[in-house]
Amino acid sequence: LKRVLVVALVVAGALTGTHASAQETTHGGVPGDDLLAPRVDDVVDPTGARTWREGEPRWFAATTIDAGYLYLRPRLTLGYGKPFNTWVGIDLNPIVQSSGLGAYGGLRVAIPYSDLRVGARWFSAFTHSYLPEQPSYDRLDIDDTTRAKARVTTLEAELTTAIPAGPGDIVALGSVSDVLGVPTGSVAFEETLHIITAPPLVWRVRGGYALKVGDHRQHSIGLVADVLDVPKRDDSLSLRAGPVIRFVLSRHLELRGSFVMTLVSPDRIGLVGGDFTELGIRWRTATE
Amino acid sequence: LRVRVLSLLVALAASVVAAPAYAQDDAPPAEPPPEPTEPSPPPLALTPPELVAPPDRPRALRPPSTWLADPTLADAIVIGAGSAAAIASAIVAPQSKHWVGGRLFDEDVRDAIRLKTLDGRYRIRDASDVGLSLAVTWPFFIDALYTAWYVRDDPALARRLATVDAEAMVIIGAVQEATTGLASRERPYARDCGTAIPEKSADCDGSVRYRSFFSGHSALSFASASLVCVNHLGAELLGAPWDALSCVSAYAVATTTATFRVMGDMHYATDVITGALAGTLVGVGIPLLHHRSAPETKENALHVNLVPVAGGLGVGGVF
Repeated sequence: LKRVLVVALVVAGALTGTHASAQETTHGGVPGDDLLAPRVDDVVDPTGARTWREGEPRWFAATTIDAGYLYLRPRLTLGYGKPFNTWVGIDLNPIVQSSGLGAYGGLRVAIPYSDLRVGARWFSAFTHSYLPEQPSYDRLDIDDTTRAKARVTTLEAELTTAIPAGPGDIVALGSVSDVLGVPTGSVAFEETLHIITAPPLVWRVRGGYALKVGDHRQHSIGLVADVLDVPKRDDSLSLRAGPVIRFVLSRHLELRGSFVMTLVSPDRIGLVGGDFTELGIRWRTATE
Repeated sequence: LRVRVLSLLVALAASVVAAPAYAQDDAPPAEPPPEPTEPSPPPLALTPPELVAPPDRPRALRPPSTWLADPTLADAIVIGAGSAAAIASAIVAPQSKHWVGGRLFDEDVRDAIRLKTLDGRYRIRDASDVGLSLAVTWPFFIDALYTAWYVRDDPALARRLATVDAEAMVIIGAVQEATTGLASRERPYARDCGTAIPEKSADCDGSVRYRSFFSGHSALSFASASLVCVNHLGAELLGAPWDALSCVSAYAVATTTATFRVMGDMHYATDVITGALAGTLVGVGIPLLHHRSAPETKENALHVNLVPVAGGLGVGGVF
């Protein structure tokens, strides 16, 4: 068994080659829309400019802005290394979306094939309130306004990875979240994980395959599946699946889409229960 | 309420975010000035040559499009003022005197196509949100950013398209928000508030409940469809038959989205029809107002001549 594992690791290392680099994670935004970025720095600017993979490790400041219908997520990154590639540092970002306002801050380490972030997210909902404990919830429940508006703090660790395999990449994500600030006897809708949580824990696993297309295999079209569970809720296992796309227009600009719908869930809360970002853009830059 | 406010902000932000990206990506890399006496060494190749110019992209095969005039300060002012007006209108609560019930054929249409179950109506509302999201983002992200800028390598056209798209969206948004507040029409589902729908719920809150006339989903979707049509056909973004197909598809999405709003009991038929007409008017009108006329030639120019006639001078010409 040990030999098999060693051989498997060597083969995996050989398959991944030298060009794979760290992918980006969700940074407290809509989860999952970054899974298709295993080789983000292999992508060249179509006008002939440099890639993020080049250059020397350095102290840097970087900005990433995600925008779409209906969210706006600017992000500030401070760190050391090659921005958007291999680095260590901190991420700070406000969260502005139709359902409320929030902020995320955390540490992050990005190395080839893997990306780890650990941080805290605070969110104040516009419409969603704390909910009473019950076996399942529907639209009328989460639209109820009799209780106080939910304000939730989530401590979260997330590890993402992507392994080249065939014409694309096997992508994977695992996260554990600790939801705080929910009154005893209540639950809350976690606006980033899109799940009704009974504190404290929520875990999430995503797997999928992303086909690489384009002149330089810079674009991705993939199919992913999510499994989420809230241990404190009975029969709370949720399954989501759907396509995700990513078109890299330049090293600064990407067009993204996530259409991950809920297939199995104890709750019937509609579109908000999925990871449905639709079309959005990502613009980013960093100090040289 | 906040959805509406944020939608306008996002539309504006998308155009603002896209514009500097063009500028940065299009800027040629800085090169050191050549030595006056000795030939300068070749510049350091930072990128493998095979990655610089993708071989199979149709870029540069077409000349830059002249469709639409270049953005001006007036466009920025209109976008800014329109956004402010839309946000203000969305924040202000609807009038206290409400308009309740259907008009003309409203009740007949409602009875005919409204889904029978509350769950079904919520699902179709979700579907209408998907349609709206797709419709609103398409002119910016697909037409301007992807097709014009990336595929056609025409950043000036992309900038013009994005500006006109943003202008049309904020104008229709401002008009729609102001109208819903002034009309203060109760949504059709509101007759279920207190029974099937709890009175203390987001839907039965006054800021949502009395914004039926006219439909924002319908107005924005049809404005978007009109922008797609006019810009595709005007700039020949994809060429035949794809431009016509894009146009038809865009209107199909808009029509479906508007219909879903009635099926989901969010609007009366007159709300979505009015929204469709207003959206189409703005979506067609704004690009045409920015239409850049073809340069005048000797053949089609106006010729005016003074000619002697009996009793004096006459004016003759070719128009």
